[in-house]
Amino acid sequence: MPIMSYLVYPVEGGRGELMQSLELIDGCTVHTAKEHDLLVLVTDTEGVREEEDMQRALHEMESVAFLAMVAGYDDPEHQPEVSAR
Amino acid sequence: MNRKPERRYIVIALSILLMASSIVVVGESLVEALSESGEKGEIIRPPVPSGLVGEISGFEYSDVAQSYLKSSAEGGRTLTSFRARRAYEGGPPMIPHKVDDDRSLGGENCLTCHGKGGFVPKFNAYTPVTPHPNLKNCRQCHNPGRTGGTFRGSTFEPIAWPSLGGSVLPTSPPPIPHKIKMRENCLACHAGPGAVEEIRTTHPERINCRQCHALSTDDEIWKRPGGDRLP
Amino acid sequence: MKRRAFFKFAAASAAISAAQSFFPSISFNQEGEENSGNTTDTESTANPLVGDGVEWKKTPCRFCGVGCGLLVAVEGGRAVAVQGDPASPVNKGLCCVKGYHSILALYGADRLRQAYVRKEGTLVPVPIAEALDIVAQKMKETIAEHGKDSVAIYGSGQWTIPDGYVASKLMKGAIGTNNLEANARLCMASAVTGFMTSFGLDEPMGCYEDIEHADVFVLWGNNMAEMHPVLFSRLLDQKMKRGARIIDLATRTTRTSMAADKSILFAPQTDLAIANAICYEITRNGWVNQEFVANHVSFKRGKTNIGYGLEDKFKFEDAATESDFEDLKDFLEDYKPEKVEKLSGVTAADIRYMAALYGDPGKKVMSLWCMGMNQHTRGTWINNLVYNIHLLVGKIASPGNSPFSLTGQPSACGTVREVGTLTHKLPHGVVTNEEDRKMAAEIWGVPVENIPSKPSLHTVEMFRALDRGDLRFTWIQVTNPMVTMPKLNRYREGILKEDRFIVVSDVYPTPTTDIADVILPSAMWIEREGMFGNSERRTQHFEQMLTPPGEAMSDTWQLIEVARRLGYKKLFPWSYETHIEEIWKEYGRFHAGAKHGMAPYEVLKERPGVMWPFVEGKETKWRYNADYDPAAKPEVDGSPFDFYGKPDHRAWFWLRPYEPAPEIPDEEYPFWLNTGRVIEHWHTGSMTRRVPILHQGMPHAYVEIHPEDAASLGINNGERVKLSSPRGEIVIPASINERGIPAKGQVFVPFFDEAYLVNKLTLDAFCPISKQPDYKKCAVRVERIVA
Repeated sequence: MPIMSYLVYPVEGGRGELMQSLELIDGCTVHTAKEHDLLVLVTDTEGVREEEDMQRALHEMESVAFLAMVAGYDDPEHQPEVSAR
Repeated sequence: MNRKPERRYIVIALSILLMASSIVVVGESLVEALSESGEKGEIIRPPVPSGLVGEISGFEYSDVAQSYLKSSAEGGRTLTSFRARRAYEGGPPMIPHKVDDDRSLGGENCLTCHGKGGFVPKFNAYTPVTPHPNLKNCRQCHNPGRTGGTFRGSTFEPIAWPSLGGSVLPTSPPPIPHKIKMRENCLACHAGPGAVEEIRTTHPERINCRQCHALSTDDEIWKRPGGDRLP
Repeated sequence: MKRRAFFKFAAASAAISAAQSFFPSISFNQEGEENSGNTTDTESTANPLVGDGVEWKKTPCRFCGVGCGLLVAVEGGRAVAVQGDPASPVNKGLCCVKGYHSILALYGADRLRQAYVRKEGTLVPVPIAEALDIVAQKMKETIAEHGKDSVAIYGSGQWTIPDGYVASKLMKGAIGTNNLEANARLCMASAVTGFMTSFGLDEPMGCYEDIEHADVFVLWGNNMAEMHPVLFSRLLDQKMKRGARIIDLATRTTRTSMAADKSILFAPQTDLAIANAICYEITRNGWVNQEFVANHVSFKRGKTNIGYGLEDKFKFEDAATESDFEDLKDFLEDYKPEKVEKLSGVTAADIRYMAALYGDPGKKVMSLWCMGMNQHTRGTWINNLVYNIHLLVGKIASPGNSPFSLTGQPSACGTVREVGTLTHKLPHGVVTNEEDRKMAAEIWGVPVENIPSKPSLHTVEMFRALDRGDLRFTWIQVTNPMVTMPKLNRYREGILKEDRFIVVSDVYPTPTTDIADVILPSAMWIEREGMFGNSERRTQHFEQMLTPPGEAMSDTWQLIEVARRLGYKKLFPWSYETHIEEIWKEYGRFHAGAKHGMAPYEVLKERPGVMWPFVEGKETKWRYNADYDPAAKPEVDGSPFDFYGKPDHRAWFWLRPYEPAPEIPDEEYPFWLNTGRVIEHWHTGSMTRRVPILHQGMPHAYVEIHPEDAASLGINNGERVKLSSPRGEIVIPASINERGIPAKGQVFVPFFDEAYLVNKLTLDAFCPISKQPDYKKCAVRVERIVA
């Protein structure tokens, strides 16, 4: 289950709209900065395909001025087991 | 230049002799003193406390771990199999293979393989190394499974497995996310092909693991006694 | 979920630190903080690595009498992990496989969550309040119709101290019957009578710390490696570090034998003769500590040919007559090593070897025992005899010199022995003593006439009385007698007779709940507050950490609810919130003083167990020794010893002979049957079998047969064989050369498995002094089953 984090800048005056659209997407967690427009976004999706959908949705958002991926994890717990014996 | 070392040896030898003789003298008088003060000439000894757990063998396996540095062997143990053998993080793992002698405590029988690790043709596997070889009654805590399933079902759910990574900064060493009681010897579990792949260290030659990796299992946040005193 | 939460936390942290590299002063709100409408999970900014929400709390282990300190992790109202408590002086951070998995025993899928009442033959679920009404109503009716002595409570060494205290106050103080017993009668009664007859006070003079001082450990019929594993690890540690020696004196080859320096096998029942032979050798070689014996020991003889209690209403009263050292020398003439060798199978050389270890003034010796000596038709005698050896050489009540009676259950000492939940006992003293009755009446606030002065039914007799019909109502708590009673068929048929009303409080369905008329679901262990007392006089408190499932209720509170329904509200006035504390304070009054003072509640809550006598803030590690025990007031110059439990301030040396077992293998039943436990399972397995890893490690019982006997009977490992005795039969898989090897002519069956009820075969003979049955010796036939 991929987990990604981004730095997000909204377009001028688009912060409220961006927050609203992010809230509508399952798996998005937003950290807002104090006295600053910059947002930290963490996405948590079920699989690789869902992750691709998520990224597409983020790129299509009109209120996004700038989007930079900072970190990405894939949980190895959900990888197929390799037998020890 | 050539003669100096010899002279030094002589000096060293002399001082060793002196030290040894003083030990004998002091030792003998100590025994005398003790037997005078003690009842019926009995020497009073301090008790030897039981060291059942503790940081006893922190570095014991390091020499062996080094020999795996050049090895490209893969043991095949994974976090999934690691967890499947434990009821919860910190619980003693069950024994995943047959044990021939059920009447044995384990001890040397187990330590032959699990003391130092290495490849065991019988199981076609690299052996996990015990972090507490000082405890000889292995079967006190570790059991082979003789059957699958349960007697009447169970609803137990364990504590969350500790997370990997967790460096505070991208460049800082990750903390130790589990309790280390009875697992004070890091290399036993984190070095060599017997170690679980996901948690195998890339640098076993560093040996003094806790120089860089701090314990992160304390949930107390330190506060200054008396609290904030600044306005 | 935790794991995922962590990744999200890490991802957010990385992004935040990246942002901070652009804007060093930037700070971020907690997620959801700005717009409160956002209801997504809030765990992502709390560091899940440190497991917040997880609290580690201290408790003694639920299982054996060693009393290891555990730390239990509680999260979200559930127990999720265990570690040994490094602060506990008992186990110093280590546990055994049962302890590590103890919390899983709370979560068996078939936990009893509600009460059941038998209606027209079937058990139907009812609200617990209704079940408690029925229990009280039935108790009242039975007393009205058949008298006070027709009702009984049968409890347990796994009762907490408050459970036992409330039961004693209800039965002896309020109702006024001595029909109160506990399963510790089946496990520790001989240890108690051993202590009482030899020293006048119950429980060991030493403590576990003796292990770190002793040079030699002699295990008398005690498979410690499996039964007291953490203590055995302390023995092994001393063996490795100091070369301390372990001698395994037993009837069966076990893991303990394999780890010992010497394994000595003896024929069943002959431990009596061996102990006397050791004394003979000590006397003959002049190893007697003359000064100690002259100043601190008096010699007694008791009755002989004392019977076996096989018949109903068996009565026996021992009587002491004076004896002396010269009399002892004559007595021991019958126990020359060569003679005892013929009887016991232990070579004269091995007897001399053990005598030399006990006799060597330079060696500190610890004797350890448990069921082997206690479940014995001469259980009191063999306890006396081992004390005799220590008394003869003066190796007692000082660090490392310690005859140490290990206990089986977590609170056999704390509850049954100290609170006194036995027919003849009171929290302080015995019912036959007027002063003790007066004390109880005063603390309880009842007229002294309420407390009957005569003991009534001990455990075996209690089940016989149920069979006969003298007893009509029995409330069973925390024990499973339909698996554990010897000669089970008789007592099972008896309890099923018309007009016997049985209430069972338990945590899982068992063969005993199967026969119940009312089942009360109990809160188990850390689902309620309580205290246990272990083998070394250590009292350990545990708080309520979890909510009990469904309507489950603590045994203490069940008893209080019924007592109130019986009209005794004044005697049981405590509030639910503080009842354990208030009970402890009331109970503590019974033991005040230097001989048995208990630690205050606040101290118990704080520490990982406190040993009594707790005097002026200090634990007493060695009793009867003025160097450690403030109650000891030695009268002999230069000697610290004062055996103040006896009126003459001396320890009593009892001259006890060898007498044979009641049932000895013959042509028809040619094998000795021995029963016991395995490391994986606790008692009848009702808890440990619900733990997957323990069940998987030991899925069913078996009969161990010596390989040569198996070969001559044509039995292969794993084949089903028929075991029969005059009392019943079972069919059970054979185990050859596996966990244990019984000596030739003997078989061994563990009793944890309700599918193979070995107690159908055992004999209900008991020690006439302690009334404790002998589960270790009876005669059986072993037959191969022809397919």
